[in-house]
Amino acid sequence: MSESEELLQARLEELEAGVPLEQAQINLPPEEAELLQLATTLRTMEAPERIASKVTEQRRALLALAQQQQTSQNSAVHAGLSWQALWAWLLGNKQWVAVGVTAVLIIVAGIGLWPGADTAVSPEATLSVADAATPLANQDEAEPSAIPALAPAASTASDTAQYTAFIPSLQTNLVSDAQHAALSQPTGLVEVQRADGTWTAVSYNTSLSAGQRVRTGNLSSVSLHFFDGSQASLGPNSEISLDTVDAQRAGTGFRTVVLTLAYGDSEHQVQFRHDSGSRYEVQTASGSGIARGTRFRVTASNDGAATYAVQEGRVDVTNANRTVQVTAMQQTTFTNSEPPEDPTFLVTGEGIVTEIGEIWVIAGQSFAVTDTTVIEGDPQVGDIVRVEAHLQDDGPPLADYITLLQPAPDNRFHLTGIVDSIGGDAWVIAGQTIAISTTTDIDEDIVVGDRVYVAGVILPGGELQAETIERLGDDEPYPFAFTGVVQAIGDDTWMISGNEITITETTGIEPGIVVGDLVHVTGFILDDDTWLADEITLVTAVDATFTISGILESMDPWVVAGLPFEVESWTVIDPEMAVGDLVRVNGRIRSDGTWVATEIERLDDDTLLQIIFVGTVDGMAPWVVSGLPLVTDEESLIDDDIAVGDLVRVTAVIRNDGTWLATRIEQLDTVIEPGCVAITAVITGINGDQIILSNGQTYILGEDIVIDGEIQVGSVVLIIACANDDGTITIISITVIYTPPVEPPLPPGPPPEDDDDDNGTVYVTICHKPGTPAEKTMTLPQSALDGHLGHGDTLGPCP
Amino acid sequence: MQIDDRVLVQRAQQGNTQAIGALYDRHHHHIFRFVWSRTNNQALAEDLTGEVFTRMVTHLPQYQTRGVPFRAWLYRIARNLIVDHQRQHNQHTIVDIEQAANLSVDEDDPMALTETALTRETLQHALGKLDPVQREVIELRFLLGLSLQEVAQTLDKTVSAVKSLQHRGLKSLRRTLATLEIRS
Repeated sequence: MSESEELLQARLEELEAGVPLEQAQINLPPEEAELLQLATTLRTMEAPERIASKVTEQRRALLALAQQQQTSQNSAVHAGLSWQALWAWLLGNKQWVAVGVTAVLIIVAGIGLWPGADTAVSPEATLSVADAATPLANQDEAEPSAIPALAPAASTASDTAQYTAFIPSLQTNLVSDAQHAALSQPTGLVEVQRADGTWTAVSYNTSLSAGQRVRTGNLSSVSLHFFDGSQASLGPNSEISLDTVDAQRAGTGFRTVVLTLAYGDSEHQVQFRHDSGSRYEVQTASGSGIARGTRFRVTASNDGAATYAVQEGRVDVTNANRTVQVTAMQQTTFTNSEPPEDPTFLVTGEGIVTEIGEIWVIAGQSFAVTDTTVIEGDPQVGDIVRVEAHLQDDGPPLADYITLLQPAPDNRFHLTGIVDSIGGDAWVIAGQTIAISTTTDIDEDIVVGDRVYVAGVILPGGELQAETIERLGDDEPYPFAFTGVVQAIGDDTWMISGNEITITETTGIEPGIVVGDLVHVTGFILDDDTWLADEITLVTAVDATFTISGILESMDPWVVAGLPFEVESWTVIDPEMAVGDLVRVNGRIRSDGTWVATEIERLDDDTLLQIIFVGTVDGMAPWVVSGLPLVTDEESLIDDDIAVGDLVRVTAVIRNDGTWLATRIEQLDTVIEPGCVAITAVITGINGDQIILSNGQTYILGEDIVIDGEIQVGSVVLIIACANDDGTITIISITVIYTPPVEPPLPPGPPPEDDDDDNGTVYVTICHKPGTPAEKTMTLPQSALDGHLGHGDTLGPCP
Repeated sequence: MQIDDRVLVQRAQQGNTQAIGALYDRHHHHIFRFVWSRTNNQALAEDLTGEVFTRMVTHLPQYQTRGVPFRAWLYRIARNLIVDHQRQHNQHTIVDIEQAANLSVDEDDPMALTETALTRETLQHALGKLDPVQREVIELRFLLGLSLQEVAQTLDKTVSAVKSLQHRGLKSLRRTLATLEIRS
């Protein structure tokens, strides 16, 4: 490269840094000075002013186009459905009540997997339909007023979370029948293989059936929605085939969905099914994973390796004649011919990359990176990424996915100054120590005293790593700019990422900057090597978070699954936490890389997922109820005299190994005669001897009806009804399957009509959880009103 | 503080229409300037600029922030559009040579050329005479304001090669301008 080319470029960069043209031309040969001016002329070349109306018109059209694209994608997901519409749709499909003798009612009553599931009944209860016999009279005429009663979650954010697992139901109306899947939310290049083997790019809401394949390109993705509400999402550079598609909804038959992920990345959200015959299977080149109702991710490579990572529920993963059960926050991996490894716990987090190589350091934590690690978006040092990893027996967690979330706001620096010293690993330039590596591009023959231009990256801790060092020939002060973390704030100097920065009254400082903030600094290096700040502005950093699940190894310091973190006075910690507990930790990652827990939650085996259901006994050694194998132990409470064929109520928990542990098996005296049906329903109101069911129907409880258990609002009941010869329906018995937990006692206070007590406390009357089985009138201090209104309660007594 | 293009692009790719508006606000002047420099027709440049951003929205999912710099990506769209347009209409940039040659150079004063008030038409004409690769480098560097590294990334060349092309391009441009002056 010629000296003149280098010289011209150096002066052009000075111009770009704000040096006046005349100054940049000093000591330049005439021809180069002329070229410099020509470049300046080009940069400032006069062009016509844009027509303002055109700009406005184009901008408006552009936003409309973007909005239109966004709407067309979103409509595939939301389709304008509200919760009410969903329930109306469900009711319209007449799937809410009839239940056959082999059907079971599933009640999610646990915590952890179903956040907030501490109330009565999951909507799934209304979907628990099987080989229905005669539907009830007036079933088609469900009153609209009954709809909210079935959708108790719609009013509060916390309750809504309870139904997260069921949200895919919203999309099911996109699918015409159980044998098709709807393709939606295509982003980028999404192609479907046609019958003749050719691939065709597709758009929103394409319908697919068994035998077809879908693939995605770079930065592309697409979702597949099945008739039963299950959903598969395909990531970039992935291909999946639909081998079997028979996504029958609960009550209409078994669901059988078999997909094969040829390569790439896929996420699956599978509607929970209690029947043993339903299957949702994701195969890879060599193995497979079968789920009932869960959320999991599968990654497969062309060489036959695959990873199954489970976020919720359980997946049975099989390869080379071995099956392992992978439960929430676990994953397993296998290669082409090897059986799946024992499941390991997952670690997820977000933060800034500070080191790249065989070991990546992300948010201060080390992660091993191998050929199996999927790295998306080409993140570099300084970028903010999300990492998903799993624990290894030894060494740091192995990263499975590293996804670029946000490129570094600006982790580069450049400066111009005199070389103070030259070393093997570091130079001192303008008073700053600059690290040198084997990849640093350094002009030849630079000696101490030369003026040089340095550009590079800022490493963690503020170390400046040079990428290029070029010799210059001028001795004027030059500007600098870099981004770093504020370590100290003084009147005259600040310490920013290890650099002492001088502040004067002319320095523009964005208000509100405190120690620990990420800031961008610009200024000039003076002759005495003082770094004089011209401007310091705040850089908005991403709010990095993490989640760890695993065994609590230590509480001082806190360590879970080998990963240390800090707790603060505001950290919410489950009481009676002890070393050895299985816990889940949610937290935030500070800018200095430390991990701080915001919540530490104990994942108790018995409270992961509690299920209550009613079914017939198929076997007792071992126990099988309605096709579901059950495990019992010495603490299981089982009624005497239960026989095969009896109707029983089972309370069970899903253990970490995936087995169902029955804690209670109760015999129900209900006998279902030919011509009768069993119906499950929620009691939404009681008025004397009348009961109101969740479909709006009202029944009078005659003296002949056998009632097992105490009926109250919110109770889930099993009703045995028989058809009479004249076509009318007679209720034979009502069995209480589930009773909602008792509300905590009301705060003490005067009667509702007295709104002011002696102490001046004002009381108000509200309707608590209106429209839900737990609806009730409460009186409480006005100071607590906002909290209740905030989660959906209404002022005044319940209707 | 100005948000990085890459952040805006990521937000836009996630469907944030405000980010798309911000990208338009940030780049439409540069793109218009470039399109106009190639077409010398304001109305056409206005329309093509609008089309560039329409294509931006359509093709945004395919854009990778780690690939070509965003402005350079827009430049590619614009350049292709211009080429398509000119092919379809069998058009080439037409500059009035009389207008273009409105120069005055004192051979004894090397600064005289650039001190002369170069008209935009003259510069346009001279740019059109450049070797295509040199022209791209000059346009990316000085009309669109990309850094040397970004130009190298855009054209898939080394920084050294771009530095050299930049130098040679400016020299060629200067020679062309001088020739125009002699012809006048």
